[in-house]
Amino acid sequence: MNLTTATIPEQVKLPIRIALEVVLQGLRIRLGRSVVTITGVVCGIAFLMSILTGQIVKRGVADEDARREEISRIMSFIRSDLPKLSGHTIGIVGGGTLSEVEARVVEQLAGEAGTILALKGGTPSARTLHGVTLRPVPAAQMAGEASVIFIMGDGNLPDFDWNGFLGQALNNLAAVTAPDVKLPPVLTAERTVQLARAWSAEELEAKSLEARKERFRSIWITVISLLVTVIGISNAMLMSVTERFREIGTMKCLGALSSFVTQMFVLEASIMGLVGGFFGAVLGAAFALTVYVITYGGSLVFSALPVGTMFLYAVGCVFAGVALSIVAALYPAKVAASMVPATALRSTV
Amino acid sequence: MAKIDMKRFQALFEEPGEQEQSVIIRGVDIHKIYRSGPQETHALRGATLDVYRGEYLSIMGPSGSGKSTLFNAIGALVKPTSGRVYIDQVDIAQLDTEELAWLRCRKIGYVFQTFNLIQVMTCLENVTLPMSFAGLSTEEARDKGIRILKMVGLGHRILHKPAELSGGQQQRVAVARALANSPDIILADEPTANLDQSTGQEIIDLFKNLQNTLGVTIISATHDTKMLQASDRILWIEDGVIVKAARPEEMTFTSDKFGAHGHH
Repeated sequence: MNLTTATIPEQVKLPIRIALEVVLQGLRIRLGRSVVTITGVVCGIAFLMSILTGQIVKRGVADEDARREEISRIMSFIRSDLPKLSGHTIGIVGGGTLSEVEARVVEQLAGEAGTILALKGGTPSARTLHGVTLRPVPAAQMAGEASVIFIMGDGNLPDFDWNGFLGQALNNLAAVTAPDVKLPPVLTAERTVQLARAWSAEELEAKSLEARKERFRSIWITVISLLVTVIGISNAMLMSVTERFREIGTMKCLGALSSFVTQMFVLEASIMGLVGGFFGAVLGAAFALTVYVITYGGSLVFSALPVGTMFLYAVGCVFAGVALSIVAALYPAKVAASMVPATALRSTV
Repeated sequence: MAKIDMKRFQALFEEPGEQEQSVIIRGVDIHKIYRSGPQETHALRGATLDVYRGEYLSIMGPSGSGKSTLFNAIGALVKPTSGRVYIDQVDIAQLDTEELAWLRCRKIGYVFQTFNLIQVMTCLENVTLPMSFAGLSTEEARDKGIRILKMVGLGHRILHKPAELSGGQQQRVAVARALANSPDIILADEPTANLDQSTGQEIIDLFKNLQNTLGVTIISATHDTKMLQASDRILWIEDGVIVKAARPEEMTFTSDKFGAHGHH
């Protein structure tokens, strides 16, 4: 025998393109079966996504409820002083940035009272103020025109002659909505009305305890739903691999390397995971939103919804779908790939 | 590409001796024990055989005789528990999985009782798959695949799926696939068992034709008397040992049993 022709070289490593072609073709032709497997992934991810969406919606709604309560408290306080707001002019003085509650109070005031004056060089900035134009005026003008002066924002107050300003003002009182703002000495307790809700130490403690409990609850339910997802996806992938042991055995008889077989199933799993994860995330979010819109009403849910966070969760869910599918397919694929071809052929799963 | 230790290989080739040029597969004292829990099954108890290059060999034996195991062992589909199997003078026990994959890809073509075509692929793709495993480009594989399918008489069916074909046609695709990388050996495990008489005969004729035109060595495990009559030599296996070797003309066929006259 001629030794030069009898050496056994390593089997050719196939480019990933061929594996991809085989996989795509397989998915297309086995469409019915692929859809069943993908549905498994969709269900798992939809469940996870609906739980996550439910959590952020619930949290958002609770926050929004608290904000609305705060706003209506502030507004009812003002109304007790000025029963008819329309025709009045409101002045805003302060530094830093308006909180969400303050901004919405300003919006409501603008809607009811009409004119909002801002102190030139002494107004807090606002990220969102819908349909409100602040008219910047000098201190003397504000003192002469404003029925109520609001001290808003989380920054330091402008340094100017507060004494003279309040002396000239129509209303000798300033309403303070920022909870922790440092007031100048001249703004004594008699001359200010603290509108921000002050939390007592017990209340704060109760709140943080409640927050901690809520966090544990949400971690717990996320872990559980992740487990359900893992089991659902593993089951779907396991079935889709084991029912093809015979095909794997045939491929190995034809000279397929174990690595090619594994590669093929990993590719297939990632495609199914991607498609399933995407539809699962969309479906899960849609389902949870529908349920909460029915429960809480559309305006509350949508004004409370942190869209950015939800998008992030959706991306995370798609990623989880891909990762879980790969992990779930890897084990049976490896078992199948390392099987003796004769055993794989005999398998009648 | 190859990280093969030449010395190791040369040592493998020297073992069976240089005088038997015409032996393509040699099995020496093959034992195979299957274990499942405490139960041990001795499927092969020291089978020894030579397969000559270019011959048409049939392996016969009652079910449970170790026929399939022997077949798998000489086809590099299972590793024997002890004993040696040389394919083209290479001891397959010494090969790692990648080398075995190479061997299965190019040296041997497999034909199965249940055809085992990949259902999601067309006939042509089934035939070209082992070619891509061997590194052929898509175009080369396509051309060669069409040529082989024409040779087995399926030139008009290349883009059909296996499910659209009759059993006999599917088995022809399987034979075409076995021929994909021009192997020296075709191993056929009961290739006619799932076919009716006339389509079975067609497959036998096809094998005979391949043997004569391409010089392919054909080894088949079979019960089919027509296959036995077509073969050059018949091995009879019983209880994991080869008990008889005979030419078909030395046998008397009575349905699916046979016996040799007088000497063997």
